[in-house]
Amino acid sequence: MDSQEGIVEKQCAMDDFEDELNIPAADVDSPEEETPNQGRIKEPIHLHLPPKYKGPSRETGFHKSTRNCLKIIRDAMLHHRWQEAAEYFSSYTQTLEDTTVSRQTMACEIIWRLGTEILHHLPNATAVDFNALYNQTKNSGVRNYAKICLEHVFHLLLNGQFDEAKRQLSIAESWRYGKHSAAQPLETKFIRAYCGFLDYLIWCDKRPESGLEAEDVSDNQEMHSYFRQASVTLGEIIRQPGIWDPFVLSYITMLEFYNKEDQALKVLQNYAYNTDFPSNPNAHIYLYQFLKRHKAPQSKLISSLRILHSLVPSHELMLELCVLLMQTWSEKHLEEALRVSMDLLEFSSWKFETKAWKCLLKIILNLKEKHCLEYLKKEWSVRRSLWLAMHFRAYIGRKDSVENVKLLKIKTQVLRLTGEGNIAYFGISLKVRRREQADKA
Amino acid sequence: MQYFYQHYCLDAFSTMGNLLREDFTFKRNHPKGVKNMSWTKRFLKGLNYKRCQIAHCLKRVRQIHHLVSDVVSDIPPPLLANHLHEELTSQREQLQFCSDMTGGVLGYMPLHEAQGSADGCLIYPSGHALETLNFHRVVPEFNDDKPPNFFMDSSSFAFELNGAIKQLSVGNMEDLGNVGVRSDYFCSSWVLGDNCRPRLQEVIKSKDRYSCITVSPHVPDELVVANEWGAAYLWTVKKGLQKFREEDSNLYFNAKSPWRWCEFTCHPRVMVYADRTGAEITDARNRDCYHTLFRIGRTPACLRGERVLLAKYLSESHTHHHLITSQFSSYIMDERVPCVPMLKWDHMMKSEPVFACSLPALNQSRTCKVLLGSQRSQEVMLLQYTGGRKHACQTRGPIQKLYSPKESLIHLNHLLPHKRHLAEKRLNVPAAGLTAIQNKDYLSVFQLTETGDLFFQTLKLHSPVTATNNDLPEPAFSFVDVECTEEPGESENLQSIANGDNHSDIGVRSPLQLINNVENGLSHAPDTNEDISKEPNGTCSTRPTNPSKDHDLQVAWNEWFKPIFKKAAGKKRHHHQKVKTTGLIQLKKTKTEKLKQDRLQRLRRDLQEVMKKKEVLLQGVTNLPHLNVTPVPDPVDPEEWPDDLSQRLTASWEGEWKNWWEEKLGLNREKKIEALHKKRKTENQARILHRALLSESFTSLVSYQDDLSGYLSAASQSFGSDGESLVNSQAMEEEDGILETEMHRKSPIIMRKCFNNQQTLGQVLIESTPKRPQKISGPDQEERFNPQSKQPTRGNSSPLDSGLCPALVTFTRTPKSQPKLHNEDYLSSLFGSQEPTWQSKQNGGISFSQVPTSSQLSLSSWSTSQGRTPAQAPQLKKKYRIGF
Repeated sequence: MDSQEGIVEKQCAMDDFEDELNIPAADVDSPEEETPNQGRIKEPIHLHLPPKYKGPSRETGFHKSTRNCLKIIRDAMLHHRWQEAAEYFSSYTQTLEDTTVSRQTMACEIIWRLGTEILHHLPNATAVDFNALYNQTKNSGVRNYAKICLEHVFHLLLNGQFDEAKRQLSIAESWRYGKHSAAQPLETKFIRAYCGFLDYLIWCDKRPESGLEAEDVSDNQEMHSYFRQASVTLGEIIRQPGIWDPFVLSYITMLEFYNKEDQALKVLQNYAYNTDFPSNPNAHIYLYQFLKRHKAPQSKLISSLRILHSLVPSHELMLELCVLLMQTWSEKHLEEALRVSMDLLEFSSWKFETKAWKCLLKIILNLKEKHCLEYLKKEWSVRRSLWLAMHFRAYIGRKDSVENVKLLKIKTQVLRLTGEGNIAYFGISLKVRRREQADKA
Repeated sequence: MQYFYQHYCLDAFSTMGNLLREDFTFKRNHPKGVKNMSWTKRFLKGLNYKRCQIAHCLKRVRQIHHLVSDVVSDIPPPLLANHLHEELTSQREQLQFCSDMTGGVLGYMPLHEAQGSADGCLIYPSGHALETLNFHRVVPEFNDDKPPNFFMDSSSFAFELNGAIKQLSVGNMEDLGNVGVRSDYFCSSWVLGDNCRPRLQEVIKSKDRYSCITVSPHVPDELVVANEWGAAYLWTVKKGLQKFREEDSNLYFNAKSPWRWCEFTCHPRVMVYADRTGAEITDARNRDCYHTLFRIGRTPACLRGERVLLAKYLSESHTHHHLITSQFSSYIMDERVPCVPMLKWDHMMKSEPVFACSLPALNQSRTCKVLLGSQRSQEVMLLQYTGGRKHACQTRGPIQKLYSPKESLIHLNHLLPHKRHLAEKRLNVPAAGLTAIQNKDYLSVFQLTETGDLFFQTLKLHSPVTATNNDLPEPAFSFVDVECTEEPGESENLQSIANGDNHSDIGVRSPLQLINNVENGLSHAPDTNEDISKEPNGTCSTRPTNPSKDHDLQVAWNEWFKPIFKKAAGKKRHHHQKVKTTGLIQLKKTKTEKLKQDRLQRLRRDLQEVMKKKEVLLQGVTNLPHLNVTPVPDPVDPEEWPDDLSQRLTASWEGEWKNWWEEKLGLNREKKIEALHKKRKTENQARILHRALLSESFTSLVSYQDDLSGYLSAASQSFGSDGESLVNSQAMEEEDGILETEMHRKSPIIMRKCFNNQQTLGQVLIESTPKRPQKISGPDQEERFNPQSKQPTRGNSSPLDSGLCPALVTFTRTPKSQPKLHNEDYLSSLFGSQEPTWQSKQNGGISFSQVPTSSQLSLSSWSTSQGRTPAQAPQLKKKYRIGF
């Protein structure tokens, strides 16, 4: 829950009123549009700084004072002086009286962004204040209606007002305002998605805790209706390209609850393999986990993990892949497992993981049993320079000897099996062994 | 061009002269020229034949050069204009944004691996062009409740490099730590350790400018470098370079930028290759294997014109995270999930962030921090976030702006304006680097400016009650001056901050600042290491840094300011070169000129004397030619211009334009009538009174006449003013009758009475309406002083402008103090010179017309002009009657 909100809330984390205004999102910068001076970096627009007119300023006194006010608020906010910012903000609302249409719409947005940010940091802000501010900004800044709604809903959810949030969402969902509602397709999509998600949460609440007794389930009509609502919206949302991790998971949970595995599998496969979707390793992980949950054949599991390996060779599931590959006992698979585990260990995040090293050692021992150490030699010859510098330099040895002697031993064994004569590392290992023997004695 | 000519005249005009001057300094005993041998020989030969002809000539040439150099340009103006434009454009771009310094030139490397109280090494460049590399050992002292202190070693290791240092990249400290240093065409790798001196490992050189160097966080002695040609190399020290990527164009579209950047990723052989349009992950083992990490336009919510400014691998915070900043936003990208930002901030910075420093979370509940620094505006922004593993990334608290050197003057005592100016100038230079050290609850942020000054501030973590985030630092400033003697180098400021929402905490802010004054250092200490001789450099001093209050901060700053001010004070003024031109242009001075000059000199002397005495210099004393006195033009006589426009102008000149119009349009008629009635009433009353007084001395006839005249005046008044109205026509007729009868009996006595009356009226006038425009003052005043002499004049003028106001009115304004005397004078003058009066009588009823007009004036000073035209008609009528 928290995390999903995090994803979206990051967008509203800080007011970015300077951008976005009058600047349409760049699609793809095409070379034709480039002006000859394109090496230059375009500067952001600063509303709080005096406009760079050549010649006499056309600014009226009103504009000047609002601009100065904005500057003070901005400085106060950047230095986290919220009280001061709030004081100036109360005066700044006068910009709404600006008669120029463009400036007025801009002022609405600025006030929304500044206002909510300041309010979030005032110690004595109450829920009433928030509601008042959100409702007013919603009505004045129609251009950002959907965004404001979403922000409002997140705020309510974070403060535990679930029902109110649900109500606000459904209001927002049914909101229509001519061109304005059509101009915010992304946000309306989000609103729909979260509608479905909240339905899912309600469904979760109503779901019988223990046992899946069919009768109980069928009795609970209300729960079913929520399921229907949620599944319709979520199913529709998930079909659109994008990264919908929490929504997909919740959808799958519901489908699994009603034993619609086929449908769930279809959804997951679409989510993982559809090329319209951005590359998302999580999709493959979900698919694999789903397959594993439903006891899919080993080959299927392996193939799904292979795809994941091609995307993210550093993933934790690679250890599982190695185990799976070893279970088949075929030489080819063993060789592949060796490759996978060595790839994994090359990532710095796995450098000191005993688990991974253990896995590698096991694979190598398996290979040795099968007298296939030439695979190891082949792999080693490619990676030798990197591995010696990365894993077996003296400093690492000393570090291992201090922090993780077990790891040191495994690594020494691996090194010995590769047939490498790395004296420094062996020396350290030897020293440790002697010390241990001394301790025992 | 004009500006260039004016302000850079030396560059514009005297380049050729300067270049040639070397060869033109030929004295009689001429030392043999080195460069210009053949020419010199020829010249020497020439000397045998013609004595000093050339030398003399050249002297003149030089003199002429000095004289006319700012008129005749060396370089043809069109060519110069071209180059100038080019140069200015490039300078402007440089000024706006300069990518050279991307990455920053300030680094800190702990000398032991363990985090915390170990020694560290501050690496920074110094010197005028930032060409000296300094390794300066710093011993931080961390206490639990006190902000950390930094003890700088007395000396630093300094190495003079063969070019300005553009970027420093600091690797991890193991036994030894790598430092990569980038200059424009050189890159060097250095190592330093706890027990050994910093030393150079290897230098690489390229024809193209290097734009990036990064030290590997995984494997020692490995670096990646990228140059502006578009090639990126993995550089293993002592083993050579391996090119893993080469792009002759930008990655995704043509951004026309040669800037390239490389960073490591989680895998030691997989690199991020970035340019302005995006970033790609490239496998160094397999050239064809790459995929997009970040792409402008493809990553959601990119803005038009957005460009990648900096990429940084956040190895310590999260092994898969990369920071990418553009001029608008900064993104946290996960290399496993390409193109989808984990986190996005709008960093709100004024100018482009090109320095970044990441600080990992010290424990689970803490936040990861990213510091962004910009070059031009010296801004430093602190961003905080959590997550990235089990939880999604989440920002923690809004962006916070830290203090920058240029803001530090606010925290100090006020300086004198010129000193303030100097200090500001010094502090306002662009920033050159940024680094930070984190320890428990404290975060020390170091900033380097392009003059080589090093500042630091310390932020304290607000004891987070609700295990969430938030550093709320409150920096104040203090510093350690490296060059000066022992100074308290830090300050501590306690401030409590009421913080909103979910973090309520008290902030101790203990910001320190450390300044390393390079320029002064050079001037103070003869520390020039000519070559990389690895000699410890310069004079420095240990800094016992005591925690101190604002006062000490002030003291420390003052100490820092001292050399700056001193240097500025000691600066020599440039003397202008004087060129004698006496022999060059010869003018014969004539005698008369000499005389003139004498005269001028005398005049000057006189003037000086007079000024001393504060007197006036009379023209007679001087021998200056007499000035032509232009006579003041004659005053315009408004009566000569009877047309509407002129009269209106006259009225407006007298400030009565509005009244004129009202009169003209008859807007004030009613008011006038009323005033007239009132006037008449008061007059009648006055007359009654008067009669009572006069009756004793005058005969009844006289009194009767007097009465009549009173009537008369009243009648004519009403006539004058209401001439145009037909409302009172009946009354007028009646009065007319009386008038006529009265007219016939006209006699000098009546005349006299009239005048008398007029006189009294005038006085009444004065009392009732003191306000009269005083424009026609000059001649009138004279009149006032000696009315007798002027009487005829008045007489002459008045008949012409019968209803005439200004003259008359001013006349009536004779001093009140002596009315009687005046009257007598007047009378006597009348008697003495009857002629004018009679003349006037013949010309027209002056006596009749004058009285009404003046009364009209008295009623409403504005009515003159308006009333005139209508008033003149009856007057004419009367004239005829009089004539009969």
